[in-house]
Amino acid sequence: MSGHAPSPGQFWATRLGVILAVAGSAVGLGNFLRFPGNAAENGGGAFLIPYFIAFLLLGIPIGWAEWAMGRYGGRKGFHSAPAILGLWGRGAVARYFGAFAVLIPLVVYFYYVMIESWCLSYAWSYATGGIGIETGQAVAEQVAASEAHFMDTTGAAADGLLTRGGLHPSVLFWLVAFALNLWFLFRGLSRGIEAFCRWAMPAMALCGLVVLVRVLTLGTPDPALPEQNVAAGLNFMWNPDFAALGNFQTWLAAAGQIFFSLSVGFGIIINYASYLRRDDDVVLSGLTASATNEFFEVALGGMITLTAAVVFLGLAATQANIGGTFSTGFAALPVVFARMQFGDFFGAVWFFMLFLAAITSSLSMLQPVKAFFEEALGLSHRGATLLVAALCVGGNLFVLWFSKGLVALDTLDFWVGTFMIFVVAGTQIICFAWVFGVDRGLEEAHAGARMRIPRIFRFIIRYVSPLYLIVIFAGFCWYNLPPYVESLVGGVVSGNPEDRSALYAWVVILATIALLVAVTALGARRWRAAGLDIDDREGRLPAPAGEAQTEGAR
Amino acid sequence: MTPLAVLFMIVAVGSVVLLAAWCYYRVLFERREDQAAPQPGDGEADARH
Repeated sequence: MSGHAPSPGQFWATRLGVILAVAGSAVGLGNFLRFPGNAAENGGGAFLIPYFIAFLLLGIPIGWAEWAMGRYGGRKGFHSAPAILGLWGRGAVARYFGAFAVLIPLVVYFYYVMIESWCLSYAWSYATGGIGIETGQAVAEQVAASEAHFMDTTGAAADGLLTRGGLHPSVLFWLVAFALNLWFLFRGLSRGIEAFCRWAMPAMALCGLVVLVRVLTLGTPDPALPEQNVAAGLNFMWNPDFAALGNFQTWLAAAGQIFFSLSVGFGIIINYASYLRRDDDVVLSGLTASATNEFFEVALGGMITLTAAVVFLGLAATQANIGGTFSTGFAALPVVFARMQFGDFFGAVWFFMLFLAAITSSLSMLQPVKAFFEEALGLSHRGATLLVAALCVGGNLFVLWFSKGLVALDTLDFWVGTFMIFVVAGTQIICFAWVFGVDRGLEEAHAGARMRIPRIFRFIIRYVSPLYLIVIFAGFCWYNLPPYVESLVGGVVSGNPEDRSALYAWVVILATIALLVAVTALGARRWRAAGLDIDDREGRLPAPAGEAQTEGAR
Repeated sequence: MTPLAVLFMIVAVGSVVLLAAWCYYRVLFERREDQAAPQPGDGEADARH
């Protein structure tokens, strides 16, 4: 008995469907825009050494743990991270840490759907004649024009810019993106999210391959600039600089890229896996979803973005614009498409692909929040969907209004979309390996599995992954915390209200935490009253002889 | 393009393509096996919800 109102489509319809949904959650803008910049700035091809090490020691093990935890929770009738972590952590502490695994998808959605709407806006602009970059201008002027278009699209020049003077196109695109997300969420798990991802993921791969073929066949488009060619672009991305391996920041960047790219610690996989049936495979499925993400990141992101930028912008301009996701994606690449033959077509395909990458991710952020309200408050599918929609409208309007310099967006992204993920991932791996027990955890993962987890991963999950996570978290805080703390303190002491976006963002974060903790407390009381085993007391008892044999036979 | 850049590119891209191909081969192949034999526990899970 689950103790809460059932939603339509409570199980994934197919194994491929859940794999594509998890992969869709993982594949986002970072695969195409952040990865290549990260690699080029941190040793080129040599970056792939710490990157694949982090994939094996951090991404894969924590991913497997999340899949197993989620399916176990679903078997006990739970789909929300607080309830599931309460089972694996055997008590209230883990349950309240689980509230952060709802906070992350909810707050990240507050700003992520805005970025998604920018992609849709750019795709629409390219499909209807481009974004207004003059082809005859010099590269620097084109980059300036591209940046001006980005500022206009995002309202980054001043707070409230997008809400003044009638309906700004960006607001319209936000409404479209929001409505699409809500529609797929409302249709339910298998008819909404799964059905969409089964169509969107192959479409995204097709779009990526179309652009990849175009980029690899560019040759040397300007004979007057023979150094700007495809081979030079690929060389910029892949030529290894082994000296970078001696730099701690290279290892930090590689682990961070893997960690955030695979969506581990977001509270999404744990929710998605809870809709699996008890003997559905989690080991091969988890590996396949991760492999899909790596295909998009390394084989498409690593081959397209910087290669095209070097061919059309040259090395110097490319190096100047690869510092961040937004500068690469929304300042440099539009110039590339302006200089490319049939650039409007390829620009439309590229940004439509980014839109698909974004919407498959944003959809995955709504489902865990909806599931949490359903089972903690006893709401119906419709009621929980409406509550999630109301919260998200509030969060989106906050980001839409406090748009100056994208400070509010950046603050939410840093503290919730980055910092908190370490906290949730750490909680998960400790619950899995140390509280629940790594042997029981792996036994649970192997139920119904189509492949065995290699024995070495027992040691990795118990010791290496937690230690790796702690070191990476410490390094991350050491290098990144000071400027964010300074901007927060600056917002408190500044007399200028426009400097207070970071402070207001923190108010939003704290209010959301308070709400989720209160709902978690209500949920725990409700589950206990319904007689549910919320601390996994049954799991601590020795299994009956017959059951043990069945488990062993698997 | 230097030989080392070519080597790193081929190894990295080849690895992820092969891994993905191997995984999808197994997922799709085993899905057909699943369809032939219904999974024990499906009925119980459905009844619970």
